[in-house]
Amino acid sequence: MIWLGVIGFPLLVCCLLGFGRVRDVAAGPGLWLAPLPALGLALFVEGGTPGAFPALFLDTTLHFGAYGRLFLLLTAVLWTAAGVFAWSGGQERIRFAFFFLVTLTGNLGVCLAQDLASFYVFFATMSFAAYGLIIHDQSPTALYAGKVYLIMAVVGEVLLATAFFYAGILGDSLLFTDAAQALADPNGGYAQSTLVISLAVAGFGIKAGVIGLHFWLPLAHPAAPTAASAVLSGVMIKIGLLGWLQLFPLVAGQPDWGMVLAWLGLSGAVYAVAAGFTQHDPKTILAYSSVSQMGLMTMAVGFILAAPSYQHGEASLAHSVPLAGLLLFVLVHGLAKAALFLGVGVAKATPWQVTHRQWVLAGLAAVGLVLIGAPFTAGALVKQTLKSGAEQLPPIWSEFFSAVLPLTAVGTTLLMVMFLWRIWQSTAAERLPHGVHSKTADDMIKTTPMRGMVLAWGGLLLLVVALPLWASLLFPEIINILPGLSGKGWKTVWDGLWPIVLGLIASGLFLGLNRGRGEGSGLDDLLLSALERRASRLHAWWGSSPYCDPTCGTINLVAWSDRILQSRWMQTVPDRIERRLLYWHTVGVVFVGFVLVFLAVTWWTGR
Amino acid sequence: MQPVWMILIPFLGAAACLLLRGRFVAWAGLTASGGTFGACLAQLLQVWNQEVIRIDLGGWTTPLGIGLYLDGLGMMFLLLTALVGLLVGVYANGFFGRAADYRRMEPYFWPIWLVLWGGLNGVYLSSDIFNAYVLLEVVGLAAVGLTILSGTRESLVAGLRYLLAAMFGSLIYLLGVALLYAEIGHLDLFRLAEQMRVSLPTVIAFGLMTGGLLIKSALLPFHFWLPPAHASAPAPVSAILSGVVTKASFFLLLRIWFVVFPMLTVPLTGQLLGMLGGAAVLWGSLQAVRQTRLKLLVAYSTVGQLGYLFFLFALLAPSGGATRAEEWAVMAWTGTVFHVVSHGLAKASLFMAAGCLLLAMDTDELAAMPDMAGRLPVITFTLGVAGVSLMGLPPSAGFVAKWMLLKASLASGQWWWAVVIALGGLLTAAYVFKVLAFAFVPAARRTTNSRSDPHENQGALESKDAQAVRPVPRLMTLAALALAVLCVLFGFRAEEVIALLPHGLGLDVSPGGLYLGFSQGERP
Amino acid sequence: MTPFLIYSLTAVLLAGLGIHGLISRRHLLRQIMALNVLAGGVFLLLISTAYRNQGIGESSSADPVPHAMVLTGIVVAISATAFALALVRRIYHAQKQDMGSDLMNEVQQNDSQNDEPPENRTGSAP
Repeated sequence: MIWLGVIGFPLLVCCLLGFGRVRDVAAGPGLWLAPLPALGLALFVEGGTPGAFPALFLDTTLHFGAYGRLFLLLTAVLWTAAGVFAWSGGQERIRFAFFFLVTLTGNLGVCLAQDLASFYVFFATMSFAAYGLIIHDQSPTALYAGKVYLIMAVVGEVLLATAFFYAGILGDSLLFTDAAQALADPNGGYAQSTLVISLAVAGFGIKAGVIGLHFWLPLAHPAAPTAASAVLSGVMIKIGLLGWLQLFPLVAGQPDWGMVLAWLGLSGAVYAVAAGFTQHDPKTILAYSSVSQMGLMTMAVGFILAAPSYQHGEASLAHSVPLAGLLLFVLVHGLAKAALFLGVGVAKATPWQVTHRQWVLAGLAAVGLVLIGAPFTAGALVKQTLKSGAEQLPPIWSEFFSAVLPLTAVGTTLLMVMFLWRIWQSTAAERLPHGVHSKTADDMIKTTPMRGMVLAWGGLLLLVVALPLWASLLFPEIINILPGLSGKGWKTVWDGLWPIVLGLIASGLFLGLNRGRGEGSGLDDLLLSALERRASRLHAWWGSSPYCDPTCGTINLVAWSDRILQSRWMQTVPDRIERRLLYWHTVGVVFVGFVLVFLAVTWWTGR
Repeated sequence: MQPVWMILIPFLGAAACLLLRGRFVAWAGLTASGGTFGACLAQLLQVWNQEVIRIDLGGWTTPLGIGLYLDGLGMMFLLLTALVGLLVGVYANGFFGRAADYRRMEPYFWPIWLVLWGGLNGVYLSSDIFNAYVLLEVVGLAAVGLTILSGTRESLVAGLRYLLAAMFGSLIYLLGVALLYAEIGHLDLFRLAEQMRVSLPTVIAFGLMTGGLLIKSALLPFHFWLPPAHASAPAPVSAILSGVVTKASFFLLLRIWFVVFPMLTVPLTGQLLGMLGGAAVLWGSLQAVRQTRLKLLVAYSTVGQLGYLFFLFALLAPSGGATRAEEWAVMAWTGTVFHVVSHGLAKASLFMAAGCLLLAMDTDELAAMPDMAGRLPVITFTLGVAGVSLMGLPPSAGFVAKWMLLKASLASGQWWWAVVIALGGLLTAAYVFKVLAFAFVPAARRTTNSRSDPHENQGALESKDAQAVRPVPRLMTLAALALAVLCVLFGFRAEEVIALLPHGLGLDVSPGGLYLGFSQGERP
Repeated sequence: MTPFLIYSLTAVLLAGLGIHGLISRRHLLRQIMALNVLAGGVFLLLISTAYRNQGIGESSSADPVPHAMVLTGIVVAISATAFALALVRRIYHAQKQDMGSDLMNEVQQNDSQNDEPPENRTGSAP
């Protein structure tokens, strides 16, 4: 019951929005109170008995599973921080609170769902409710971003529904563990498992921002209010990853698919850097950084899939270093990215003259360093494990990926430097009326950051910096199998440092060369506009066809049915037959005939 | 709780309604409805725990006594009748309280409807083919009485046609009963099943009884009485006729086929009934698409939807009903029972919604109801929800029904039924969307849409004056909506139905004999 | 030629006549009468089974069950016939009232396709 309570609590708070008296409480402190039960569950409950709810959806099973606790913790922490951040409110806070809480419910549920049906329901809840967060400001950019997001979300849902459907059939069960086992079964249908995996790669890939499916991400994350973009980028895109981890046969491995994912991830990581570093809006840069980092995580999933764990002894994931690294990566990136997004909000709300300003920038820089993987941070740990994951690949690929990995750190550095530069630049130009790229009205109006915003941001900052400490307390099983930070000598430090230096040089070069230039339209924008042109042409063609209902643009059923019903044949023949059928003597003759045939058949074929 | 109360309460209520005057009639009727519903729930509990109930009234055993028999299958039909009956009662209370024209019918409606209800319950409880005949006649006469309530010429003609058809069907059925009695000397379902033998009289009796019941259940070539009767009756009556009355003779057909005559069923006759059912699905739905009046459309949709029920015979006949332990048997049974219930609820809801529209707009011409969605949102929503169940879209009981039938037909290798089910679903979608399309057309665009038919156009223009929508009592719309929502909710409770059904059906009995499963229930 | 055979053959003949009458006549009154003929056939068959089954019980007298059935059946048939006749009367009056209405024309058109003259339909109903 505790499982359902934790998931349902935000919904309960959401219901309170309907009562005028407690509405302000629900829309204010309720935002950060809602995820607290989940936080408690993730912190203090280990294991626990799975919650089975046969009456809910299709036999719902709720439990931590292998990854649920970590994801639940991340979810709860980030949503709490976002709730504290949004506590001070803004315009339309009731509506914001509604979508916030519903999305939270979906997000919590997805972390705990152990069966396909409830996972799908929660996933859909999260995806569609997040639309309300994205378009919250109702500005043209937000609406446009929402449109793109919604289209891709719907496509993703359809792909996932199909994937889950087949996975359920293959495993003959709705549990993720059974589905994963069935996918790994070499005797099972190859074509079917390929179908399921490819659908799941695409379906979750949309959420995780895999290259080619990431278009919505750089649009939606900057458009949403700051608190919402923090959770969008921090935890919700990781849910795609969670889906992969749950569904894919990680133990048995799928080498081909592993390589596909690794390549997809790598190209996504590189591409996002290339597309992102010319952007001007700091939040857009952060979004591209998210795409890039998600690419690295996708690559890590690929490594795990490509190198089945039975190669190193035990056929289980308990001792898999790459998996532990990936989970740590999820934590690091989730917290860091949320801290960065909240930091943008804080920075924009901080007047330029205030001396705190430097502290804000310093804090952002510190988080950036963690994300880049500077020595002695959790990020460095992640980079090392990624490398060890690459080393388990077949020889040729392992060398290639090991060589390329540090280069991705260069890209991350570049993005981070550009981000800090844009922050500095945009707030320096704050006195100009249109100098801020902020989309949120509260950022514009407030001149001092609210206490809640600073509190949320500062808390996340502390968590990010001290991540190795508390993570080793909470998740000893993950941290213990990772190589320690100490005792590696100066070589590791140098390994961690040179990509950063290289990145700094590259960004310096770029800024020096590009000073004063306007925002170039990236490859993404070109692709998107081309797609849109094509789509609008298709739409125009459809709109001009006679079968389209001009008022709503859907199939004009009346016209269709009229067309068929008004045909000469339809006008006459069925009528004539029906009229015949309504005569007593027709019916009588048919009846006598029927009874005779019936008798004859029974008599002659019976016995 | 004796099952006989299920018959007695409505009959007593009918007597009370006859004696009372004024508003008391409605209150007495509603009380009796509530009482019957309560008795039905008590009965449900009993069947759930005790599996099968079998009693002889007054201690008289066969052949002279009247035996009652209740199993899971009968329980589902009783439950459907009670659900629809209760909500129709609530609806009728609002409907007949409206205008003087309707108020005039109220003192007639309640007693006849309660007699009809008692008769229906009796058919579902009867364990005797002759009692079933008498009760079926009670049902038929009462149904005709309800049909002609409005007293218009149209309804009188339709009612007489209905009466003649029902009488004809019953007499043919009685002919079969007479032959059977002459040959075997019993009337009890289970005695007959025990002593069944293949001989010319039993075969003829089988054919006649099947034929008579087919006429009464309006399978395709014998549906001539149904659309005019259902379309010309007042709305609550149409809901009753389409929702529950058509199911009574089908129920009896199930009993005849799978209890009395399993020895005589051959695959070909099953296929014959299935084919008629398939033809009904396609033809009825096609005719429904072509209608321009909402009530006729819904009536033809009943013809189509009833066809699905007859796939059961095709699916189960290959095993002769004798070894019904095939894996698809459970699916076919569940699907059919689900279809009975979902269609009953959805169709009653549709007719009630149509009645609301008729009250609000004074016409049920489809072309005359533009922008209905804007002006009567709850009714439009009801139409939509009920339509979803008719189409068999998830999540609704209709979906479960069609899904089960689809699975059963594929599992049994008779894939052609799957094709018919899919086509029927498409046609159903066509007429449901036709209604909804008219409902969502903005008022200004009405004339362009009805351009096709000058008659329609004229009607639409005439009704322009009566543009103002008259208010519909909240209770009526809510009753219709409640039925539609129940229909959807019912889809979530498949397990219980599957668990309830084998009680007395012998589904879990090893291949060896159908009626063995039934005779388990024959405990005093 | 046993008595039972005579009875039952007569019954079948009557039933056949009834069915034929029902489906070939368009006049409502005749249809009702045809139904009654059919009912007569069925009842005759039932009564004859009483003779046939007389050996089944312990006693050698005629089987009482078919008698009970026939009595019930007759009651049902009479009430249904009365109901049908009342309906025909109502229809006749309603038809007289709106003789010139569209519906009437439609009926006449329908009937003219049949062999029988349309005015025969309910012409002598009262």
